[in-house]
Amino acid sequence: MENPADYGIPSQEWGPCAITASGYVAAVERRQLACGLDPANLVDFCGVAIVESIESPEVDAQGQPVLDINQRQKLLPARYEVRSLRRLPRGVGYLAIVAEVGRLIAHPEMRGAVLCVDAGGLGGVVVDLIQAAGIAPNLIAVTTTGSVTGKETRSPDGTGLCVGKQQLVANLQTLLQTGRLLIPRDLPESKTFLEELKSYSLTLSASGHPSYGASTGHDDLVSAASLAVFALYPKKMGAWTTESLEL
Amino acid sequence: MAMVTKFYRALTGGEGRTAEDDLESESKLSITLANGSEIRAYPGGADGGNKIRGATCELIVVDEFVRCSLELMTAVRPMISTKGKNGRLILLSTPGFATGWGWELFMRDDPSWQKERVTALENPRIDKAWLAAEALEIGGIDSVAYRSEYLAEFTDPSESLFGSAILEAALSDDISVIRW
Repeated sequence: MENPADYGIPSQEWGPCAITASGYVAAVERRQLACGLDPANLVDFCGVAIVESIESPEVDAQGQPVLDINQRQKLLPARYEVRSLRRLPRGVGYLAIVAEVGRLIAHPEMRGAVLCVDAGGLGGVVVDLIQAAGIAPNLIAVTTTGSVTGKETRSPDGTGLCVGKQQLVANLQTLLQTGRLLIPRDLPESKTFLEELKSYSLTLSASGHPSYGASTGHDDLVSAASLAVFALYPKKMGAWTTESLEL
Repeated sequence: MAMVTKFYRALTGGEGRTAEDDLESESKLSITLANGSEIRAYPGGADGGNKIRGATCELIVVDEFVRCSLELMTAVRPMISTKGKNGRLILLSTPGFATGWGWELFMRDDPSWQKERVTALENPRIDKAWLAAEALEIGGIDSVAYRSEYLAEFTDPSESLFGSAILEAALSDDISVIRW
């Protein structure tokens, strides 16, 4: 950004800015980690993706953002970094998945991270086990649907969210197309992730119903990454928190 | 129909007769020859063929059949139902997506059909240099558009949602990976 005034932001609302060679930048970075988990058992791999959003809001003297989220997104949209990717082997049991998740959440760098799990199908069992083990205080259980409205709804049992697969994919698309999702080049699983993304496609049925998934191979890492991004992606009504979700 | 009429006029009749000599009558949607033969053009339309029912003929030529509805074809087929072995149906089309009745028919292993596939590369009227430039224009020789339009291939309706160039640009050497 060269100058907040170019974006129509009144000068009194800029907040303290640091001036660098590239122009005005916010004084404080806000980082949030999320882990996406796409459970599987026999046929597919269990995908795990850790994504971090790095937001540079304008802040006041108390460190609070001075602009509302829509203005802030226009002014300084967050960037996202894939911090880890991993496939758990086929045939791994539910308890082993939960044990791995527990180990990950306990990692020192994962303090305060959100865990977003695909709760559809056998994922529901994994969610139940994670809740029972009490290892993930910031847990979001997501059931993917065929909805194309772009709106999340509370799941019928009230314990999670129903989100259209299209919305999850659109978030990833938006970030990649705007150069805001970065993938570590030297991570071995990144190559698998890229291959999955390349073969990820939209298929229309004869009746026009869209379905998303890998045209060849697997898409577990794409699913996991899209869940992590969903947990971090700004919502029109504000960011998800465990409080706002009442989970 | 105008194309059919133009083509007919370009034909040379036998024994010194011109094609014109055999042309009995002509309208926008049909021509009638001196021997009683008729060529009629029927619009496909979007009404499932309701306006073209009732005709009888020995040869049906359906252009761009892949884009015709199954309802339209259901209305067209009975036109040759009483002609026995003399009734013929010729279907022509640029291929589309590998889905629908047209694709299923083309892929079916049915000896009662003769199948021909002609690509733009085999067409002497299409300049090879023009074709190469066109390929670049519409995404390369592997693109869905080129394979469908010029290589006469039915293509997978699925398209990758994430382009290679975008993914390549997303790779970074500056990310601190969490090892666990």
